[in-house]
Amino acid sequence: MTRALTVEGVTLQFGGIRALDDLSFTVEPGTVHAVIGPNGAGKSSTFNVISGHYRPAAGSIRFGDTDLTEMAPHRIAREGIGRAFQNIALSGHATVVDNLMVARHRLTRAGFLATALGLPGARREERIHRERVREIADFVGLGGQLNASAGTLAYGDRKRLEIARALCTEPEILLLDEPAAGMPAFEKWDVASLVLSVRESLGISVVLVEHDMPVVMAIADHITVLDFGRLIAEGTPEEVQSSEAVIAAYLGETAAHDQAVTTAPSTTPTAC
Amino acid sequence: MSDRVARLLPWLLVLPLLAMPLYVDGSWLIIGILGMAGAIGAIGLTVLTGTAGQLSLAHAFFLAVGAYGYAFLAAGSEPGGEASGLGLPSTVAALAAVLLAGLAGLAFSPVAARVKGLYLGVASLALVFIGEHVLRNAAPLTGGFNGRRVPTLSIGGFELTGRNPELVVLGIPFLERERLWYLSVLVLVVSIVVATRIVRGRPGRALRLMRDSAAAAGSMGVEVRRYQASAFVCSSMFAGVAGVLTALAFQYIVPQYFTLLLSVTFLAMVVIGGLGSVGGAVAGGVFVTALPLVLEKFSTSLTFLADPGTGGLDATMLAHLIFGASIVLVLVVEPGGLAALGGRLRTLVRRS
Repeated sequence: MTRALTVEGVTLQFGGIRALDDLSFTVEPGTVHAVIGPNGAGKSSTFNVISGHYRPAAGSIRFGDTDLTEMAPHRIAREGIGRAFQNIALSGHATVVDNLMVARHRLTRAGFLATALGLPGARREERIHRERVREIADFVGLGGQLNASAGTLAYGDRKRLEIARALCTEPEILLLDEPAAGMPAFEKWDVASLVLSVRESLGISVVLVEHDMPVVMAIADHITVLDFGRLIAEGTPEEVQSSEAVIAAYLGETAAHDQAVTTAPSTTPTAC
Repeated sequence: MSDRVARLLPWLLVLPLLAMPLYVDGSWLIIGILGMAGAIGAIGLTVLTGTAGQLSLAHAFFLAVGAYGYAFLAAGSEPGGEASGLGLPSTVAALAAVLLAGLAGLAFSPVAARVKGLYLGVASLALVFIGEHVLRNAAPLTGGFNGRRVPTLSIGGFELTGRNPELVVLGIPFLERERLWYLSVLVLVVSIVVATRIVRGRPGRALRLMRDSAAAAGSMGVEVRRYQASAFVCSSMFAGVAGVLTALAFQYIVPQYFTLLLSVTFLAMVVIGGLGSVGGAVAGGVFVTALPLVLEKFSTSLTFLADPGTGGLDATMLAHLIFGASIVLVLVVEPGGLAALGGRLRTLVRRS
């Protein structure tokens, strides 16, 4: 059904700084895969490399049998990789429905001329895709606000709109960059259940960057932990929680020695 | 119901426009025709600058391509005429001139696709200066410093911008200006419909997201560079249409008209009208084009206005002062410009 996303030996260099250092991991089809790590660990850089906004100095990114490494962002989007941005990147003055319709770009064809002439094909396409966009808006809980302008929505709803827009590209795999950041507790869990239902009902794999450890531990099937651009641990939430390297990265070397393995780091990292 | 009424309301303005030539004389009509040409040019710029967020100072250049393109393609090689021509049928020449403006935009699109916002504005400045130089020096094409005559536009022997064959409607002789008036109204309406569809449809949505976040647009599958280039070409074609109409209205074109000042005037139109709004561009275009002409027409009764060239406050100067004040007013009080004012009016209509 969906394909595996494989990051292999990726190195990303900004001048003298190595943002990603020989990073490898695989997102298995149909899983929620979290990428965590302290600030500056390279989580967003990982996303930017996968979605083609940065080009790695070495290594490759493959989606099934397709090599994404040298592709431009729009080609990668067309391969079925959807992305929601951390710093909400919506058109503030446009309505919710227009913000979602733009994500149908890769699935629609009407160009300047066909649109200008109002050709029947262009009109039909518009109608069909509006219908689907409405369904997706309902799915994320924005169905009642289709005609509100995006800028006037509450913060939580704008975050949700980001996710909905990425879903509107009908992705095989969804990259979510801190979908729960800055949200009060109850909204966080709404987003968490939304992510789960994306996987359950739409069968889309999710790659998740998130700082909120309780949320990550609750919904992730597999976790990759980064620090200074390197992979320091990976595995199931349980495996990662008991990893000394992870505790050291978040709390420092001494903490790793002092802390009993039973103390999950999940209570502390939310602060950073 | 009232929603529909509010949406259709602006179109009612077309009716008095159609009746206009029956009531006002040619000197008013020419002001209106130039206003409509300005509006069409402004529509093109608002798509580029407002919707796509790309600044262009080359609008005057593309108007010139449309205007001179038409004159060159339509003119026969008359004996004694200074500038040459290809002698195409005038309707073909008019369409070809618009395409030519689009081609000129396409030729510049490698730059337009790579340079963003304000920097594109600076880069496009080059086109205006190149244009001015060519207009003055390529005399066989452009007539040089003295300009060239613009052939009349006709379909099957009926002159759309001339006076043959004779036509009298309700006792009013329909001469050059009456006929061109109707042509302008038609072209303006088509331009508004076309631009509104583009802005509201798939291309417009992609352009807006590109303006707000190029990275997000890319991740939605929008080919950012290609769309940046397309927006530029689209805008230059509207400018080409405006250029052809302007040429037909003036009947004689000179290089002094197509300068940087004209480009800046177009920017004033779209800012006053409200960036990104087609309706606003039309209102701004008519206002900015017509105001100096109307003031000039009334300059004999407006006693504080000096005659042009005497060094006092003349009509053009006063109009420029008013534009300056309006731009400041718009930026401070209502950044949405005339379009936002219109929006408020519509809300009022809907409530009542």
